[in-house]
Amino acid sequence: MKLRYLLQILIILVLLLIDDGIINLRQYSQEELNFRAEQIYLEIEEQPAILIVTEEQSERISDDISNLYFVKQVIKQSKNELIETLSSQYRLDEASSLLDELSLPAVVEIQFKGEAFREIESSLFLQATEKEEGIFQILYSDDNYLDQWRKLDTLLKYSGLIEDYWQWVYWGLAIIILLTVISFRINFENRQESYWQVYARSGGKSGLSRIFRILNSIFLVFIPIAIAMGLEYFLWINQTFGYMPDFHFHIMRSAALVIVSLLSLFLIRRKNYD
Amino acid sequence: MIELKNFVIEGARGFRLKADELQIKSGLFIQIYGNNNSGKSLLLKCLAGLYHNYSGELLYNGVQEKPGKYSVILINDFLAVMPDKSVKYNLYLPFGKTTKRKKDLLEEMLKDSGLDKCLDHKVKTLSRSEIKILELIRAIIQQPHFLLIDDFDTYFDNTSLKNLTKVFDHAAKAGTAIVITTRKKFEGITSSYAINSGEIYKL
Repeated sequence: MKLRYLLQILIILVLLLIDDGIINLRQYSQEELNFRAEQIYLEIEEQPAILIVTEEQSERISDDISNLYFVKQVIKQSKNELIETLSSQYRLDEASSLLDELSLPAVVEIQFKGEAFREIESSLFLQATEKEEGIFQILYSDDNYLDQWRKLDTLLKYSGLIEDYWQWVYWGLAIIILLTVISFRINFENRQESYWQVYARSGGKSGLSRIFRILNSIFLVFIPIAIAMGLEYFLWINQTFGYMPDFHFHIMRSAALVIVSLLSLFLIRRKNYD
Repeated sequence: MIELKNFVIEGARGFRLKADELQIKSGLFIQIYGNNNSGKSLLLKCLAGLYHNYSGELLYNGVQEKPGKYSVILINDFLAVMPDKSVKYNLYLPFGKTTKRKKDLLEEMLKDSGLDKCLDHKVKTLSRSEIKILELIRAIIQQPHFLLIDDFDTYFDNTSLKNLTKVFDHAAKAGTAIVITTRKKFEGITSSYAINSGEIYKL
C-alpha cells in the first residue's frame, strides 16, 4: 500500500511538473516574441516621415500631427536652425546674413510609435497631411514599413497560436490532473476499505480511518506540489530556471487539488459492517 | 454494566425479542442460548450499538445512550482479519505498539491457546476456529468493557472452551464482561440466559 501511495505521489508530481513546464514554456515563448516585436517597433521608430513646410505654418502643423495617437515625437527644425546647420555644414558663415534674408522652409520630422503604427495608421497619416495647408513636400512612403509590418503579422500569428495551444494543453492537463487525483483517491481508499473494516471490528479507535483518509487526501497532493515548488525555486536560485515560481499560482492550484482530493472522499464506497 | 429494561427488539417480518430484565456486569461470563432465528445475533448487535430498532431501555452504567468511553468488541461471522497478513500482524492491527506487560500477557494467551506456534504464518492458512481464537485474544488484550461473541458454538466446543479457560480468566481479571450466544448450553458458565418464544429468561 505504501508503494502504491508513493507511486501515486510520483505520478501526480510528474503531471504537475509537465503542467509547470507548459506554463514556463508559454511565458518564455511570449517573452521571446515580445523581444522580437520590440526590435521591430524600434526599426519603425527609426524611420521617420519628413515634411517640408512653410515656416509660418510649421508650428500649427507640428501640433496637429503630434496629436495623432500613433505619433511618438515631432521634431521641428525652424528656418534659423536650418541656416545654422547649413552654415556649419558648408562653412557659409559669411553668407549667413544672405541666407537669413532668403525665404527658407521649415522641416518637420515625425517619429511614429512602433507598436501603434500599421497600415491603417499609415493611411490616417497621409489623410492628415493632405488636409494640412503649407506642406511643400512629404518625404514618406509606406513601402519603407512593409517589411516590419509583415514581420509583426507573423509574430502576432505565432503569439496567438502559442496562446491558443497553451490554453488547450494547460486546461486539458489540469482536468487530467484533477481526474487523476480523484481516481487515485477513490481507488486507494476502496482498497483500504477492507483494512479499515477489520480495524474497526477488531477494536481499533473509531474515527482513526476518517483522520487517515483526510490526511492521505491532503498529502497525496500536498507532497508533489511542495516538491514541484521546491524544485522550481531551487532551479531559480541556481539560475538554471529563468522564472521565479509564482507562489500565488501554486497556492491556488494546491487549494483546488486539496479540495478535489477531499471531495472525492464522498465518492468512496462505504460498506456496512453488518 | 449493561442493563436491559423492558427491552424489545423489532426485527424483519414482525419479529420481536423481549427482555424484561438483563444485567451484564463487568467481569462476568454470560451465555445466551437459543435456536436459529431466535434473535441472538440481533441482540448482540443492539448491545454493540450496531442495531437501533428497539424500544425500552439499554443502559450502559446507568446511562441511556452508549457513551464513547465504553468499548465494545463484537466477534461474529465477519472475519475481522487480513488473510494475507501474518498472525502477528493481525494481532497487533488495532493497537500497534503495546506495553511490555500486555506483550507478556499476549504471549501467555497465545501459548495457552496454541497460536504461539504460528505467529509468522499467514492468517489464510489457519482454520476458522483458530482465526476466531486470534480475534478473541486480540479483543481480550485490549481489555474492552464488553466482549460479545456471536454463535460461539460454531467455532468452539466444550474442549476448546476448556483450553481457553485461562484466556477467559484474563478477561475476567481485567473486568471485561463476556457475552456469548450459542445454540446449545455450555457447561461451566455460571450465568446463563435462554431465548424461548421471543423472550429472554434467566436460568
